[in-house]
Amino acid sequence: MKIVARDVSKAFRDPRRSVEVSALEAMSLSVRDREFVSILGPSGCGKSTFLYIVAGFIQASGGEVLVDGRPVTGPGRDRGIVFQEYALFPWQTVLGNVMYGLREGDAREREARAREFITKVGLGGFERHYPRELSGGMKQRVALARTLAYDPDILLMDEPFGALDTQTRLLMQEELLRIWEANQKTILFVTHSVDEAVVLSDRIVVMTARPGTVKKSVEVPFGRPRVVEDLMHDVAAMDLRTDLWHLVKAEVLKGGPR
Amino acid sequence: MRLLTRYGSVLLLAALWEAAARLGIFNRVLFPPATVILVRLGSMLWEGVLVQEAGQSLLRMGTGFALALAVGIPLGMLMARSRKVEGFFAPIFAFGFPVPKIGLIPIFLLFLGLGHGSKIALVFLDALFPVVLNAFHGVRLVERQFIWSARAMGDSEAAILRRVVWPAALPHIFTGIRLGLIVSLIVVFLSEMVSAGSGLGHVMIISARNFKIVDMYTAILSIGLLGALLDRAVLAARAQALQWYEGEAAA
Amino acid sequence: MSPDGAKRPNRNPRPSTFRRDGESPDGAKRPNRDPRPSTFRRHGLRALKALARGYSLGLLLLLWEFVPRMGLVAADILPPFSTTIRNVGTLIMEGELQRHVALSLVRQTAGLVLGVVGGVTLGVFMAWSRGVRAFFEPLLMLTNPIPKAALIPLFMLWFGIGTFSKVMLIFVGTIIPVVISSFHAVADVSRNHLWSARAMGDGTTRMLLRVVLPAASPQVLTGIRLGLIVSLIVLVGSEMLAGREGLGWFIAYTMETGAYDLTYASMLTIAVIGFCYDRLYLALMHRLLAWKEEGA
Repeated sequence: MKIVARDVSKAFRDPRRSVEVSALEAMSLSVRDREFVSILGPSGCGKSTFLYIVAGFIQASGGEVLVDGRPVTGPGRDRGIVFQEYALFPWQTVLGNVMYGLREGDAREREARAREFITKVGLGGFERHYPRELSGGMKQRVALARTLAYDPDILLMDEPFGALDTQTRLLMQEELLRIWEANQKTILFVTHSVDEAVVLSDRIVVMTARPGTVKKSVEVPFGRPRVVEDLMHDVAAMDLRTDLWHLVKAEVLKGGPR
Repeated sequence: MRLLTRYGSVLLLAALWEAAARLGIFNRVLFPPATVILVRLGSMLWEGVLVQEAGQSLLRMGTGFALALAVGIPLGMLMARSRKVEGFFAPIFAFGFPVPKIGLIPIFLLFLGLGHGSKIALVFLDALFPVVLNAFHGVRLVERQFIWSARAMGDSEAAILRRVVWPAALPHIFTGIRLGLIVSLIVVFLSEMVSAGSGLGHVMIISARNFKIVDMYTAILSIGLLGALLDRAVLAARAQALQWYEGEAAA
Repeated sequence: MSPDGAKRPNRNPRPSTFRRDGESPDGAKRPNRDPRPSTFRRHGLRALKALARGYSLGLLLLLWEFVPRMGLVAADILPPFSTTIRNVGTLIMEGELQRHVALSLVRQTAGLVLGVVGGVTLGVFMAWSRGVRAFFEPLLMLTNPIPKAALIPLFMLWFGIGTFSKVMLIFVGTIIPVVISSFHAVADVSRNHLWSARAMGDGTTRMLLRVVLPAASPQVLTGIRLGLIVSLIVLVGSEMLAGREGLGWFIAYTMETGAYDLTYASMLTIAVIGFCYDRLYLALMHRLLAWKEEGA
């Protein structure tokens, strides 16, 4: 097992009302090496919190997370992160951003590697541009290149395509599939889109409303390599989507109006 | 020609001033013609008097301002990163920020005398507050995800400070620098007016009191030019350092 | 490197001691802040924390009290804090202090109100009329960087040394930053907001009051604060330089006559007044910008 989470819980203190709010409760999940697992759940269910705990940015209130059998005590270069808001450094160019995490080799080698990954995500020629000059989809490509370039074993993706329009989103999903199929990394992918989870994952973990925990783990039976468009019209995929949609809807309704 | 249209209103007012003074519509003593002031500015510059007095003012302002930056930027950043440091200094800065420090000039005169020391200390104190507060806010407002991204890529805390926190906070730090400059300039000339034997502020008030009106206008004009020049310099440095930010704001 | 960010203040939503202009005190503008509480916030430590937070100021006051008491500095050059407080009391009993305070406050407030009203009006006109803008923009660009201290002798000459001259100083010191900030703010108001108001049948005045001014208020308030700080300095300075009344004059007068104990009393008063003005401003800002927090 690449990632093992056992009974992870997290309680926040609501600063406005001075009460403890439980965001996660007894969340357990195992991810195999090179598996693509999506975490699907209604907004506010604690799925991003769980991802941040795996990343080591925040500490669980209870339980533990093991990566390669070792407990997570903080962030590490074995786990790369991609945020929905890209988190590109606005004061760096595309090249500067992608070079940021590179350590090995001299400046020329690092630049060559960064350029290679910029080309890989289809942004060759934009090396000297600043993030502000790029569209949302291009920014997310840079963020992806930045993380892939220093070659972490695990990719943690926090609704990475959530801010993109539908067309760009589909393109990026295809892009991610292509890259993942070539590099075979372990991916933990947080999303609230049923379609996205079905298209991308080997397995989908549906979470309950807050406090979040695993409601159901669903294997996705489609082979690889996948073509996004084919899955859009596949009958089995449609059935799976419908099932998942009902699972998520039940949790959304349980969570009440927000 | 572009300059002419751009500053049309200014030139128009200057021309009106000149005409009104020449035609005797204004009191010629209180409102000497603009050209007379310009000529005096030229001759005072030529004689070197103005340069010498401006040098005194600049020395005082520059020293106090530089000290305020050297102390204020690290202190503000430290306050944002360490709860203990913030806890210690916060009340002083919260209370002292709006206090018009020029009112404290008697203390400085009593303890530091009439020379450079008291003015430098006053400039330092007045510039310190905006510099510290803006550095503090700049660091506080750095996106959490920037820091997380750097940490995920294995940066140490020191590296994060240098590579992420500093550039991300720089726009705010520059705001503090500019505010500090504005306040420093006011304070140095004010303190020279209140108590000094030299400096442009001193020249200005002495000329006013002795009804050397043209000299007074000349000093005011030089102070204005000096202020504009320094403000431009800070803006240019800012534009240079924050190319990515300026563009972002415009986009 | 600690994985637990509890001690990293930049990830904490705790209200900052200093509020930024135009921003809610608990960072409501940035929803991606870590909502985790700090260990420092636990109930038992609350009281202790309040004490600890004030201690640099307390330390300063203690120094002020004991340095002269222990004879490290002569008490006639630096009278102890408690003596100074007593002197403030005596000055108030004699009716001397409030006369100067009242006058300074009247000057400051009159200049400030005129500057804000004039500044916002001019700012709106500049944003909406090309002609007005073309006339005033170069004037502002030229006058803005002039250190306002240079206006003191000029206004002494033009308007005398009385209240009118001081009010004009504060007026000019306030109006420039307010015009600039309100001009930019009004020009930045989103077109969709304006169109929405028009679509709902708003006339220009109504739209100005209901859409433009509220939307521009955060930036305008920032300009007002800068004006407030600058004009307080200039007011005190100009009172020190000329006239026979006002708190600034009183400071300079007691200093010149060697009544240092009274100098310290009046300096303390001016510090408190500056502080009160700022709190008033913050309270006002908080009220006017309450809507900004709802987005959190």
